[in-house]
Amino acid sequence: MISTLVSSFKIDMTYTINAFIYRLLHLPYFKEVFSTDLYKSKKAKKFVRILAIFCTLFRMFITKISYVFFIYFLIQILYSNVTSSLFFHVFFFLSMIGMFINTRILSVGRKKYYAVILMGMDAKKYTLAYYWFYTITNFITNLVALFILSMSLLSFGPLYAFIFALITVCLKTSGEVLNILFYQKTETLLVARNNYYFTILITFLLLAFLLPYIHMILPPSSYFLLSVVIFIFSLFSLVYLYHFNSYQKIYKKINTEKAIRSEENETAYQRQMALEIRKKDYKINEKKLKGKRGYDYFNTIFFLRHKVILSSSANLFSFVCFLLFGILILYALLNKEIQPEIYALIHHHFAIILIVMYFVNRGSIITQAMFYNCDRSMLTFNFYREKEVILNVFKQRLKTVSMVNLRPAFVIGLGLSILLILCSHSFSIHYLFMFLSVLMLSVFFSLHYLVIYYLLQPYNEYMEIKSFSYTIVSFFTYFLCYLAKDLTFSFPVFSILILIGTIIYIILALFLVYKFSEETFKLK
Amino acid sequence: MKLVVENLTKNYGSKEVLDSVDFTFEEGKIYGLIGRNGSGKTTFFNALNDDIDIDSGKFYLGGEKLLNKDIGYVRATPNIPEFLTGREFLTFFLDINQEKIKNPKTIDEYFDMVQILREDQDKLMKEYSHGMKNKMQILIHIISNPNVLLLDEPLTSFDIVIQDEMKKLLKQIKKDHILIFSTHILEIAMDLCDEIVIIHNKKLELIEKKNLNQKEYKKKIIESLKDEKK
Repeated sequence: MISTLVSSFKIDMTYTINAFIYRLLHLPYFKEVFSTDLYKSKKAKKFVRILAIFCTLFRMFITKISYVFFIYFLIQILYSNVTSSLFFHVFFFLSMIGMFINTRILSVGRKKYYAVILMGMDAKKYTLAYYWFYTITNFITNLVALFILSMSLLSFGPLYAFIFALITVCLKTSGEVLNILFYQKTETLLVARNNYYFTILITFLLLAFLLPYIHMILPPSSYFLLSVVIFIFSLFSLVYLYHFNSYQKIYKKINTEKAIRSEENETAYQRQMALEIRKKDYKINEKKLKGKRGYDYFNTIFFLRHKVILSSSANLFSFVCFLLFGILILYALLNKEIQPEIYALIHHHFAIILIVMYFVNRGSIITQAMFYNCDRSMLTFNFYREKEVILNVFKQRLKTVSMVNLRPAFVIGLGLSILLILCSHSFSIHYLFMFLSVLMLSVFFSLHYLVIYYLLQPYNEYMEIKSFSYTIVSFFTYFLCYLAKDLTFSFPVFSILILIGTIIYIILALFLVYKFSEETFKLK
Repeated sequence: MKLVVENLTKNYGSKEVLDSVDFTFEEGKIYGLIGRNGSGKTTFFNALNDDIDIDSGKFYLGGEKLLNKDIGYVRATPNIPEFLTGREFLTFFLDINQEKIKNPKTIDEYFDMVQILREDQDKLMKEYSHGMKNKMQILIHIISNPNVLLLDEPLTSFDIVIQDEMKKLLKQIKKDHILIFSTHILEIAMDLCDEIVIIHNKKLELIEKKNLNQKEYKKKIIESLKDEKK
């Protein structure tokens, strides 16, 4: 069993090391300095191996310690007073959730795919080796984390730390068997069945957090008996795990190539799924295409076929803003004494609108859809990569993207105007400026998302973000908005600044896109 | 009109894929580009199409610098905008290229050219099979009529009837074009192409047929590909 574990670790390690070198070689500076010979270098690999082992151990302990302390502080927030018995109660029921839905054996994994399916390791030996590895490390990390908690914030002592470390691993063992039995019976994973998944989740969350509200907490002494019962159950489970012989069959069914790919890059996979054209949009209203030609025709169809994805996101934001402002306006109406405060708040902190509009803007999802469903394929045609064509499509898109983003902007602008009028009991032409500046900011950010998409084209075919500069620019934009949040301008000055900024940016953007995107707007 | 490749070198890290390649392709011919796995066929196409950065090299068409608009590149995996129907895609494409297309046909005639059935013409291309997507891809390139057409394994996804139609179509258009056709299937290359070029030992090499019969010629091509320098 030890040798199985060692060889599967070797596979994992090789993968981790090569992935690390691969990433390193794709960083701007490093790719100049190092060559692919790095894969051959024994010294470099040794260094990365030590680093990887250290990181893994560090992560294991840190995760567990953070988890335990997170529960502690959560209880503190919810009940303001944390006792050992309250902590045990919550910890126990949360572990019950983990027992059902956090299965190791039946989880989909790249490592399993490589070891068992690709390289043909004995599935049973592999499973049991990993089972022991996880059980022992889990026990140790839990013990250490609970002990630290006991030493620092709660003084329940080492005996309880030991009992709970034992309870968690025994629950996990029983959970593994329950999951296998469920799979054998239904041929589906428990976690993949939403109704079961949420029933378990909600039931145990209620037991964990609601019972203490009505003063029903499991007494600490009961855990002695519970641990014995759970321990006996886990012994039976262990016998089952040793007698079970269909690991190979199950692995082949759940660790398919597709599942591995989506597991490897979960976000990219989710992103792809989110961008698929919805069935509802297959049929479009032909009348809306009347008189449209060329790029306008192309762009209009694109937006009509992505109505659900693009508009629903903007509409949802508009609706949320509408609700929030509705509540605020109602609140201001009912509490007259708060009105001057609201007025002052909007006036003095209006620059926060920069951050708000940055986040409200749907530019990011729109450019993602543009890439995934349109440019990814169109860029393989050379006519689509010509300067004039790029600029033409860009202009069409700017108009439509701005229109989509103006919806939530309109609600925000209107909401703020009503609040200002209501709280100052008067109308000032300044409020109109404020309203206009919100709309302009929306155009500004629509343009911004589009420009950085055209100049940095960050995605690869699978919707993974491959451009480091894109991440930097996005962060930098946010950072600038954050820095500007404390600036105070009168509404007219603010809106004139935004107007000038937007106009300059539009001219600059058209120039930059025309000049450079032939080079930058490409497939990676 | 000649397409001249001058001193093309492309390395991936320390691995040399193409090394100082010089070659001239002539108008009116279909060139079959053959090479072993990983020999650099797609790299060669990507370099011509300016999809990758090259280490050195220049391309000329009719004495002028080769431009992107001179090339059509039919890729091994067809990429077409799936949010459009076949008809919408053609409408858009014909619309924006109306000045460039000589003697345009009607949309239905174009569909007939590649045998896309009536019931499929107004379906989203998302629902097209691989073969149908490929038909659309080839059709667009044939309509846009570029001087140089690069075709990367284009016929393998077609049934034999369509394969035959496509071969006829390519033979029809070769008169005013330079067609470079990459494939692993020697029979298709020998049947369709006027010249066979192998990509071998990081260079392009024309395999002359001279007086050889088909069998001897085939043997010569395979022997040339086997002879790899270490």
